[in-house]
Amino acid sequence: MKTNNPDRKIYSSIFSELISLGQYVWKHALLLLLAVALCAAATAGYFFRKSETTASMSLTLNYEEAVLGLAPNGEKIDMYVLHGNEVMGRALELAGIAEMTPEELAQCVSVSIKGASGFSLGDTTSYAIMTSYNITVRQNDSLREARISASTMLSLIRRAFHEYFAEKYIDKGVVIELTHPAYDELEYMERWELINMRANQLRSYLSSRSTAAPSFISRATGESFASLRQKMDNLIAVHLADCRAFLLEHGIAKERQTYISKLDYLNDALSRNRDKRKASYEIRMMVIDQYDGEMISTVLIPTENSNRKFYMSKTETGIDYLAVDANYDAVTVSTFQKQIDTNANILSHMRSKTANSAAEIEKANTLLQNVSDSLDEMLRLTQLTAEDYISSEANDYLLWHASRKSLKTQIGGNQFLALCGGYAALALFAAYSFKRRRKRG
Amino acid sequence: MRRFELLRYIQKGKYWIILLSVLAGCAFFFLASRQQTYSARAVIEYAYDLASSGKTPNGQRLDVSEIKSSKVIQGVIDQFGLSETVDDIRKNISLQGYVSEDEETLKTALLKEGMEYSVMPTVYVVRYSVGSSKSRSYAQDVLDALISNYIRYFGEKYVSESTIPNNASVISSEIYDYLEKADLLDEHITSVLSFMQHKASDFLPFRPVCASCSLQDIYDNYKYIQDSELPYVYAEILANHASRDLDLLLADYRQRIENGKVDQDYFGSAAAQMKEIMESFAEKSKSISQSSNSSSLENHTDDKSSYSFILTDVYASYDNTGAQVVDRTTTYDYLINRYAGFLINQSNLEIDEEYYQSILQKYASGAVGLSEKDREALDRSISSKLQRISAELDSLYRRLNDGVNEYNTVRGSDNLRMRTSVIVTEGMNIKLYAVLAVVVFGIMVSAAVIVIGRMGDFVEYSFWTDHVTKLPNRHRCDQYIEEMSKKMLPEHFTCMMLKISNIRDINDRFGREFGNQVLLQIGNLLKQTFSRETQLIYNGNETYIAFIDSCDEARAEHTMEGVSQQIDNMNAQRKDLDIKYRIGFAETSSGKIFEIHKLLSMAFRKI
Repeated sequence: MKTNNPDRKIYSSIFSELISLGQYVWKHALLLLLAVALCAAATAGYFFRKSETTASMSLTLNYEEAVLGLAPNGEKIDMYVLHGNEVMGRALELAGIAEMTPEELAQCVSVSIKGASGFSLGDTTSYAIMTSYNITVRQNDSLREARISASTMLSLIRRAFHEYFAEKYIDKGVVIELTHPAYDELEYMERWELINMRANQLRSYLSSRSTAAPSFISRATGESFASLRQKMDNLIAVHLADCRAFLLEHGIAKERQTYISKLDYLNDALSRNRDKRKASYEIRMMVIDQYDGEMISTVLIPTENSNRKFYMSKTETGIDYLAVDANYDAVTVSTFQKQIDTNANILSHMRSKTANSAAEIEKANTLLQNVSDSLDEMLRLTQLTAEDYISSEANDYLLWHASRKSLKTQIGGNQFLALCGGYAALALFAAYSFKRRRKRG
Repeated sequence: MRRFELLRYIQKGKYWIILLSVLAGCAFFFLASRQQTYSARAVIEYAYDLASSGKTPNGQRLDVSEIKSSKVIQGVIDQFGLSETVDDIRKNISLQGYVSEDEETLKTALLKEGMEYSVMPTVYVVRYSVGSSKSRSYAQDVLDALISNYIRYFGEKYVSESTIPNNASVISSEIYDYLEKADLLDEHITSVLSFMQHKASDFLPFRPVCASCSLQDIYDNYKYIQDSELPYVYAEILANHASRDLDLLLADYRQRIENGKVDQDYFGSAAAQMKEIMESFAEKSKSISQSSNSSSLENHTDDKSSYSFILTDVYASYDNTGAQVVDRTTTYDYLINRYAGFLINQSNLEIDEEYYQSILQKYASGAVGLSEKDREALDRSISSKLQRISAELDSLYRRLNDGVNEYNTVRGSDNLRMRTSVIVTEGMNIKLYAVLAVVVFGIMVSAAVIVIGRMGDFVEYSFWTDHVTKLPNRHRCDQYIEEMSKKMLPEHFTCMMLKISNIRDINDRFGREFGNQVLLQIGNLLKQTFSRETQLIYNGNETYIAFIDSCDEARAEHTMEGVSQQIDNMNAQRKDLDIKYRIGFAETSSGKIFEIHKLLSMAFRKI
């Protein structure tokens, strides 16, 4: 049936145009494909070259506290430092680039949170702290001039951040100074006290570590923290105790009179402090006696004690505080008295002798040296064990993963595909125009 | 007039539609990029018991807006070296609290029961927004640093421990005598030890990363210096009666004794007065209490069992504003504490006086007989020992300070936690909007093209179309000829002319309307014969002109025959109709004529 609808005429003309275009394209398919392929190759080359000037890596914070947004030491972790001046400065230093400022380098670095999605305030299940980050470095002119590729710079940034992280957030093990600026000037007993103090510090460190990592055994030393603490206990209980006993028994002194004067002064000072506390204690006891019990009533409160047993507590009043303070005074008096007695004991031993024989001095030196050496060895073992433990823990704190670029990524991925589509469309358009021009004449 | 053909208009204006739509998309993208905003946001939580009652960990009123305080923001500015002012950043920060649905339900239920219930949000979302002049990562970094600084600030102010000033370094001053210098060092150590002893139970075992030792180790080192090193200096000073200026030192100690005596008298009399007040107060209070109790018992004879010392409520520890902790100590306890304090102070002063007297006695005998050389050696020895101890204390203090700062930060992070990472969202999705802009503009431009195209049809019909044949009229022909006359005609350009010579007869015989119909049919016949590219014109006077591009003589001949054939067919279809016509053409290449007027004349001559 014939129709005069003009739209239909246009449709049929478009259809016939398309058919004829298809025929034209088919006829020149090879040429068109070649043109599109050439353009695609040039584009792929461009993207490939561009991809060489960027490098990416992902970083995962791999420790328990990371999901709370904290560093291993419990403080909030600041991830913006990843492209902050300090890390950038360190990276530039590692690269040996003096012409570039940290701020300029930071322009080449971008950091994004991996997998970050939005959250709704009312929906607490949507709350999440991401622990993975993407770091991308783009090579700029300054880096190009310094002949540092993007991937090299990225690895230097990685190293710089690792150092920063270790310095700021990771326990560096035990640092106990065994030396003293004037160790040789110290009296024998004071050297012993110094060694004893350091030994106890080391023991305290080992105790806390053995609680935190009871099953850890160092590959480097074959020791666990618990075994080292046991050795430390032995050193304190046996070696140090023997050494002290010898020093006291023989009244070993370097400059006896000076040492006696010092102990005398110390005891005077301690006595003054003790007397003050004692007076304070007596005054408080007197005031407790004078306290008028009828002035205040207390209320009994049934409660539970720390053993989860019923316990009748009461509201506290002024008299409670006086008693607590008096108790503190009494304890302090006892502590001062103990120190005074200890010093008096040392004094009596020092005064019992006028001089020491060379053999006694030599033995004292040997004993102190032995104890000091043993402590040195213990410290060395502890440090090695601690380093082993920390590195086994800390090495995994930061997991870096260099994203291997697939060929598709290197040549531009979806962007490349879109451009190729564009080239094909352009080729068709060009063919259409050419065909029409030819048709006209 | 031409029919309304939608696709024709669109096809005609397709390049405009594409071009304008793409331009609009680009313009929108450019403008929207300049209006883009980035909003960084994160959730923080006050994670301690008092937070839900709107208090800080140390019991003060919690003011969440402190995250916008100058100190916190200035910290961020310093950290990044920003050029913005505190106010620039502050105005872009916002806070929004969140109370859980359970809490809201509980509150509603209790309020319905007429009970008071107030709950403060402990979870807040913090937002920081920036305009297009800043980047996405800028917003993220600033908010992250802002929260870090706030946690530190919060920790320092409400959770943690302040440090004490380092008094050890003042001994480098020459105004102090040896004994005074030793006293200053001793006081410094005592205050540090006291400070460290009275902290929370987790303070001393804390092992800061920056110090690489526990705070207990630092405490031990201070103690060692106080017990083992400093007494040597005292012993040396006192044994040798060492002094930089003996008269000044003795005068100082005499003055201390005199001042001490004055203070002792003061504390003694104050204690005596306090005791007097206390006893009077107690006596009077008891008498009032007895009369009050007896009257209240008389009033409750029916229910004696209800009389009790147990209070019905616990008095709040805070004032009405909730900002201050109120001291609820009773007057009697206050008096008795003051009394005890006066007596203790008096007693301490007595002990100090004895010590000062002993110093005076020691120094009263004058300087120990030392040679000038020995005296100089003694001065050097004491000074170097004091310097060494001072240096050791300085170093310890720095470690302690760093350690306390780290402790504060950790405690701050414990009490104020982040619940989400810092998420940045864009104010608008520019790419999506740009695509939408292209589509919308595409539609708008298409509509405009259709309207303009239709208007063009009207104009064409009114001014440039012959209303009988619906073909371009004489004016169009003139216009075309003028246009073509400016250039040389191409090869194989043909001008074909058809003239109906008996249209008056047809009009006379069948009427004018029929004659017009004939002209229209011939016009349609020509339209169908020639392609769209051919310029077909009705020039009036029953003459049709066709300007045909790319048409050689043979093809023109063939076309002419075709047209003649069709007109003959028309004549054959109606016996009484005899359309008489003349047709001819002129072609550029065969006639060697490349000028439009000449070609037209030639064609005219041929018909």
